[in-house]
Amino acid sequence: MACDYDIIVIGGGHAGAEAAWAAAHLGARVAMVTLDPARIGQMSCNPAIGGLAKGQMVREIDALGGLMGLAIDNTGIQFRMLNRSKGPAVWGPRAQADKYRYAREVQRLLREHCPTLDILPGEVADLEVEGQTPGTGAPPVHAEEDAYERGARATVRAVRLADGTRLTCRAAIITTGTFLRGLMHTGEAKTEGGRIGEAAAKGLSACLERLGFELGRLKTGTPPRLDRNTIDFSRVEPQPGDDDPHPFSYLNEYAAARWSPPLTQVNCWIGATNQAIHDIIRANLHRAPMYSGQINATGTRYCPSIEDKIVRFADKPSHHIFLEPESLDTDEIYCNGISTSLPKDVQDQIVRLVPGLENATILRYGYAVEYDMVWPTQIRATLETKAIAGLFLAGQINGTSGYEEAAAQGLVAGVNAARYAADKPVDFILRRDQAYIGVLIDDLVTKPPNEPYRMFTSRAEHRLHLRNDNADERLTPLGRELGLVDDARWAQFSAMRDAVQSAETLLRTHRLNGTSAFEHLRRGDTSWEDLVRQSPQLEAIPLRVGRRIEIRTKYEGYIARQDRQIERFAQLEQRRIPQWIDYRVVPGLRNEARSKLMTFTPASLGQALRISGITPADVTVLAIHLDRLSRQREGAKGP
Amino acid sequence: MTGGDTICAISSAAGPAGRTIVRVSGPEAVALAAATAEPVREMAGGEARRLTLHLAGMLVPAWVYVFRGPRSYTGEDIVELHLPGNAILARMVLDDLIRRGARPAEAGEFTARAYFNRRMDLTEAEGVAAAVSAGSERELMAARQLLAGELARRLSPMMDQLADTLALVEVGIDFTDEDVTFLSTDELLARIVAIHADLRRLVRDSARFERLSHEPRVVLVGRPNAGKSTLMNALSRSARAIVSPQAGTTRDVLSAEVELASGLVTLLDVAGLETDENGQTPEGVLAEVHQQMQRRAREAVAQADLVVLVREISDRSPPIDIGRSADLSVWTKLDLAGAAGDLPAMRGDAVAVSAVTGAGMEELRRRLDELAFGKGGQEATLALNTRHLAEIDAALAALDRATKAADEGAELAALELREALDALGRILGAVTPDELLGRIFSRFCIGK
Repeated sequence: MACDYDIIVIGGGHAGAEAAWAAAHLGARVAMVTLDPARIGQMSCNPAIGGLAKGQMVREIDALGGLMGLAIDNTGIQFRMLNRSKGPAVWGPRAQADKYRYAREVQRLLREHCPTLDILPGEVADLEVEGQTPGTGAPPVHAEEDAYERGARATVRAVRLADGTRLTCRAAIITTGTFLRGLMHTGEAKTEGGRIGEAAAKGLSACLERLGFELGRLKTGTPPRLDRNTIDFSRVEPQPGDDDPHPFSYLNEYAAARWSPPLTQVNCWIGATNQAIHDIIRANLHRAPMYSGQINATGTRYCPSIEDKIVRFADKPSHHIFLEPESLDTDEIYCNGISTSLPKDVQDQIVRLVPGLENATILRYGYAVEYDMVWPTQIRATLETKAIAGLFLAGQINGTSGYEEAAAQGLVAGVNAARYAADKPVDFILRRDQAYIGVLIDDLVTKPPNEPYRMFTSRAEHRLHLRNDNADERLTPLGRELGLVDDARWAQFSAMRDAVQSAETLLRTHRLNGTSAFEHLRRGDTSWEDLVRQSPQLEAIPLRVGRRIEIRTKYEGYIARQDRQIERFAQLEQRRIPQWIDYRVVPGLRNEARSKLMTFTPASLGQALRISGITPADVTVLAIHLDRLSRQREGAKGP
Repeated sequence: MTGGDTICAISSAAGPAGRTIVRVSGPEAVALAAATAEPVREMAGGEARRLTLHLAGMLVPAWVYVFRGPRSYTGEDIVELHLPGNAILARMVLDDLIRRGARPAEAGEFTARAYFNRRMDLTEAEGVAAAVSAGSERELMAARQLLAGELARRLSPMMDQLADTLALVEVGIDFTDEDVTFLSTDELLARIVAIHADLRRLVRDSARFERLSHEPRVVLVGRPNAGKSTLMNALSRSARAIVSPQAGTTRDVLSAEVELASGLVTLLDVAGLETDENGQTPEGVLAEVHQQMQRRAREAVAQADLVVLVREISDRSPPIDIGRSADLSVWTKLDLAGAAGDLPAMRGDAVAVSAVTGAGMEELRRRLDELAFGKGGQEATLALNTRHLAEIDAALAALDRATKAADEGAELAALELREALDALGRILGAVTPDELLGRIFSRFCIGK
């Protein structure tokens, strides 16, 4: 059937850009429909990419052949490796971006590297779906997986724009961020919109509800932006970047022994709040939408507004304010740490009581934004909706927060949508022991978030393996298999892998004081630098290759221990549960388990076991039932 | 869940029984059993042998059966250890297997393995599913009761400490930009050592069923025809229950385990305190034997927690001398007593019973329970089972490793603390990463 496009990506944020990039790289004909193409890749909140756990995710996106790492390397104005005082497993790269250049770079990369991508300005008002949806009745139950996957399920056919244009497609990816029924609050003032100066997407929310999706409502916030020229920088503490900036993209890491960012590097600064400020906030709490009852959506525990901080931690005398430049070309300074939805006059007072900001002018006031999300029990780990074939959701719509979390989902949705459109199995799912991206999506589909979900390293039980230094070893071969990794990247990755291999051989044979150099590294009694100083033969090994081996050996014992656990559960991960299974007729299942399974419809036995309230015994019961079904089916097909 | 590792369980019905079977299934079954009895290694499938298990410094006779996969019940290698009917022994064996790397089987797991290894047909599988589900429901019920119980009361604070400590380590890893005062290595070590000590104390103070010293010993004394054996059988509710003649001698002490409302007691039937009918003691070799029996019997009485004097209801002769006062007097054969006038004067510490009609038996059990475990309302004794102990052991081992890892890096210490927390979580319910983050956010003002 001829379609206008294989895939339509709705939205041009970080999820949308990554989805379009991935799908186009897999050969799909893609249209990105966005309200304002000039704002593709815009950083709505803080002008930074990466951080702890998030940085690891950007490295994973890059290792799979994604977009984000390339864009930030080219537009970063301060690079820092966080957690250097801790072990390398928890190092997290972070960069301040020139947010305007970042957005333009994303747009350039999409334009120049995605020949099959069209970018169309417009608002999607409606989705055209064929077949029965939950909104029009009970979900159908089918005896055959194939029939269910291909045809019997409701299927996306087209999207309709607000101007009446109808675009037919095989798949659609919704990445609308905070725009779904977005409502911004600054004090008593409310404005509809997903971002300052931009309209909200209202039609789509109504459409999703009509299709039977259950929507939730979340809240996030952003701090005021100051005018650089009105800040006394002598009274705040400068925070410089690293002397040896580390790139996000492996391409940049492979290319040079020592990478230099293309843009000028700048400082950030640290200031602090004080009691006088806290008093003013307390006196005006009744005017803060979260406290006046104007907002009742769920906010985040980890990214509290300044009013939240002062109420909940009343005895803390001072809070940090990080002053972060938003661009090399503009005067905007982002006030990280005082996200607020207090009225403008209160924001003015607060800012001017900060030492160094006495004369500061606010260029843009902070605000809170509420928006709709789709409860992620309604998506599979492939990010395809359970109810509608070919419809994928990525980013904040699934209840996450953060550019990196959004981009990671965009990539997964883009790959799976392309596979769907190409009639390939829709099965790109990363495991929890494989990538933070896997942890992210698995958490979403097994534990629906009650606040915007942000990644932390402590969410990953295989943290020692999911490092920023080895994301390419973990994922680039997979990216190659998918078709995302091009020949150039593959050649460079292979060269690196070979170099590590032969270096390791050399280290194992080279002896120092009767012990192999490899063993010295493993015990951690000799650093790489000392090793090379004592053995000039090892100088031939490039520093970054040596470093990789050093880090790997440090964690080897621990990872081997974890691998044994992974093995125990691996077979459960591999045992897939057909989506059409009718839990009502599984004999012997406990009622609690039955209702949990009907809500979550897990894709594998392993996933089922991670749902709270599901016991190993429930999984056994389910396994027996599945086995019985497949034996029956084999019998029915006959010899 | 199915396959892969080696699982073990006590297989016969719980409670006193003629023999207790410990069953091990999986790739390591033979190797694990061979660790306690070397010859298991060379036994063929289907073979049974009488072997001596080497167990915690003890030698335990057992029948050992080996079934080789795939021609076994589960389709895997299976070893069955048939032990003398003694719950203590069975738990010790199970403990030992778990320490060596076997995993306690989940409800219905042996049967599930049998099914998945094609050793069972579809019809049977239906029954399996139901049984597994019921077992799981029971386990959940038990777990919920546990949460309200004594173990939860004592273990929860330690788990809480552990979760807090891990939260403090995690906050240092995940929020490096913040000006929170994190845990120094010394503080971390001090916390780990304190939790470790608390856990060890918990194990030490708990009345573990496995430890004989904590199982109240109740001695029955009385003349040969007073009905002690019948009473023992009635109390242990099984005619097969009695009788493991104790080491070396002829019939001088018999024992049985009795389950009372609050726990197990060991009931001992002491022979040898009685004189023969005309009050004479034997002469010659018999005299020597008699003296030996007397000595053993008096030792048993002296060491007992409780002494119960058993007399036939019609017995009007003076009570035998037992060297200490009885805690309880039991008049037996109540059914044979004629008119009420035949009853002796009953004092407060006496109970009249009939093992035949069951009259007075519940009252006797209640009185024994009260004497052995105290009256209700007193602090409950904490009894840990094998699974609890295995998990606490795992937690202790992880904490040991954590003390070492504390110096090597927060992320390594966190891994070990997480393992310790997960082990305790398998007893009381897991602390998820999200709950841990909640602890962090409720205590620290972090996040930009």
